[in-house]
Amino acid sequence: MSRFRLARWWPLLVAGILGAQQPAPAARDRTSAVFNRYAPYVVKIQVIETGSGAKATLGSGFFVTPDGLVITNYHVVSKAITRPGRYRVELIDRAGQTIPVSIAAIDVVHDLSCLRSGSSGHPYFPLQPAGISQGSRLFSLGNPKDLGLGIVEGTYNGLLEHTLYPRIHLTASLNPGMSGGPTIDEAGNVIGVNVSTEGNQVSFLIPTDRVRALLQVARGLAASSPAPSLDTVAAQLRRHQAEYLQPIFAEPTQRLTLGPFQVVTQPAPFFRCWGDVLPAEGKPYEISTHRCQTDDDIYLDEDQTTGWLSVSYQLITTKQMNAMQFFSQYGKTFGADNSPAGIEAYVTNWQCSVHNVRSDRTRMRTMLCLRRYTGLGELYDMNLKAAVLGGSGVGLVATLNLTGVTFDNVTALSTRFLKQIAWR
Amino acid sequence: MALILELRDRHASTSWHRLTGVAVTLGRAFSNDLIVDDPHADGIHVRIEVDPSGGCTVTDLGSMNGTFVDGLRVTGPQAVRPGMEVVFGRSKVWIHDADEPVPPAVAETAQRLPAVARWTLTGTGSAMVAATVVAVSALMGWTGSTNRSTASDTITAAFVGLLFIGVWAGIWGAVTRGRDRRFRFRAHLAVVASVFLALAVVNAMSEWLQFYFPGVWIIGAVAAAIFYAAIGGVVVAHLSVAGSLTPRGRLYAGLGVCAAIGGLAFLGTLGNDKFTDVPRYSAQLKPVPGGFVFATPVDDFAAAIRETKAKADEAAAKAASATRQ
Repeated sequence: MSRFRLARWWPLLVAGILGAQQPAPAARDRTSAVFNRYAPYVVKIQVIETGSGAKATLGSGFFVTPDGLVITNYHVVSKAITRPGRYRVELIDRAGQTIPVSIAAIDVVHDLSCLRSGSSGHPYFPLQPAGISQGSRLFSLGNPKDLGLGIVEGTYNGLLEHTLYPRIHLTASLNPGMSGGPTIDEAGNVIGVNVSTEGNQVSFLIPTDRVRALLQVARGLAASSPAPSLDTVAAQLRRHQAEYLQPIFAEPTQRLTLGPFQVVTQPAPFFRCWGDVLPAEGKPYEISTHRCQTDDDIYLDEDQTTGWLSVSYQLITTKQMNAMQFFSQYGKTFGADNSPAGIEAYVTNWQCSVHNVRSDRTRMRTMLCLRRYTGLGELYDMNLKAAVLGGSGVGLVATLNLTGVTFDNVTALSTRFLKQIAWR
Repeated sequence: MALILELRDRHASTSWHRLTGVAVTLGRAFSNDLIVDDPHADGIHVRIEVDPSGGCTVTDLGSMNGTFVDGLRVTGPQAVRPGMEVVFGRSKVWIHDADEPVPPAVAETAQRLPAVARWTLTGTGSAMVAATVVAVSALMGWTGSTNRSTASDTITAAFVGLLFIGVWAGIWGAVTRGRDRRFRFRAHLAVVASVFLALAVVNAMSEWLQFYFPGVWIIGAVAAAIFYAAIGGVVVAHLSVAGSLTPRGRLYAGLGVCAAIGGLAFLGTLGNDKFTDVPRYSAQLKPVPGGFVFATPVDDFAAAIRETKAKADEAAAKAASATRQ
């Protein structure tokens, strides 16, 4: 399942935004009316590399106050936060005027940012709460790369269930570049902020209540307050992981039987779990996989995300191999890499240690790999693997991946995880 | 009492002649009794004669460059005894007593070895040695096979093992043939086979020890040290079998190869600092009943991983200071 952020700067095909759907003549008039009325509220956001003057990121945004505060995604302006000296942010309004902006406040966890343009006189969305029902018609505005302001019609399909980061499901063809733009109903109420798409008309919005919360913060800051930095990002990540990690593995939600083992699955409601079996043809062993992952993640940079968890179990069984051969394959499965990806700008190399651990009647070979984020305080990624020992023709490799967590949570969760792996 | 004349010419090639009481002349000319090919010697340079009492006299016959006994130039007839060195031109002469005792013959190398080693040099012995290597390779291939048909893995491993020691021994034999043109293939085969088997044992022991004691890095270090020492040792052993170089020369050759391989390995580890988002660890698992493994209680796991945290913190601090520069 791949999820595309909408602020990509690669050239892409935008197949007839306006012509993609063929509404009835009356409906088309409605769309035109919405577009004409609300286009001036929406701006194009550019992140410029100060050295070369080249555009590094393109996205969209919209005015929310009379004094020119603008809302967009965090991932649109993230480069200016991580390397403040090398990038600057500016917006281009409907009239074509380029206005430099500063970043007033950010919400890394919900992928939002509030920019200060200092330019008044633009129409703005007041962001009051609005009722909405499943199937309502919505309109998304934004700036696909260099093609000017566009509008896309879509259908509201409710808040996603079981996600860690709240998202509205919109059925519409949102395109990269429309990130940060508003999705509104016909009356001009902002229902959500465009954030990502999976293609095939499956797109996602950030609900407006998060935007209101961020705006509250931004309003409370003077224009001369220092811009948010990586320290702000670090503090938000730290606070966030302290909250959502509490219940995981603490009270077992569901038990799963895998061969002669019993493990915990669905550690919290916001995980999605699924299972698979590797075909046994041509191999003298069989591997059944069960995997749970949090659906969404927090964007830090183009190739670096954080704030997600995954749990996986691989049951290996054989009827043919002898003990030495089986453990040779068991070792290969244990050693297969399933750790989180990362880039040098954000994380260090993995530091790994291997231990033999016992818990009740179970003995496991555990491998814990830890890496720390550079410049984000004491936050770590963890890849913990346990291989249950002592089985005859059967083995279990259990993996827990944590991203963006404090060391206390690393120890707490890894201990809880290891404790719940047991023979039946 | 006869006397023997030892003549060493300017090419260091030596000949011995029996002095039978008649005088012998030495020089470049063909009319001499002993002809030397020495441009610094006169046509007729020196005369050596034995008197009835057994004494020996050297007389220079008017040469340009002179004749020297133990470094002193002779003017008239000079008495010479066994042990004194006579030099003319670039040639040297010594007188020996015919009854001088000589050390006994040296036994052939093979006969000085223990019985087991001698057996590996026989036809049956070397065949058994090769068979052992094949068997061990086959076993390693078989136990590591994760495919449906273990036969192909086993046979491949056996074949590779045999080929490796055969080619290795053959190359050593060919390269060190030396002047006596002897291949000594069986001896070289015995050497490489025994080192191969020894290293296989060390490797297996190291794997099992590392399985039982995962935190103890010294096990891996010792195994690596043994491996490098074995590489140096096998070089020394092959050179000894061939009789090449001097004992000290062989030792230096072995140390040199050991240091070179070890140095290369060390250079390889210098790349470990480069960034990668793939973890590096040993994933070896061994089939042992759970009860026989010493294990940390899970409640102590948190304390056990503090060291890993420290390493991660150190890496982050290094990266942060690197970007600051």
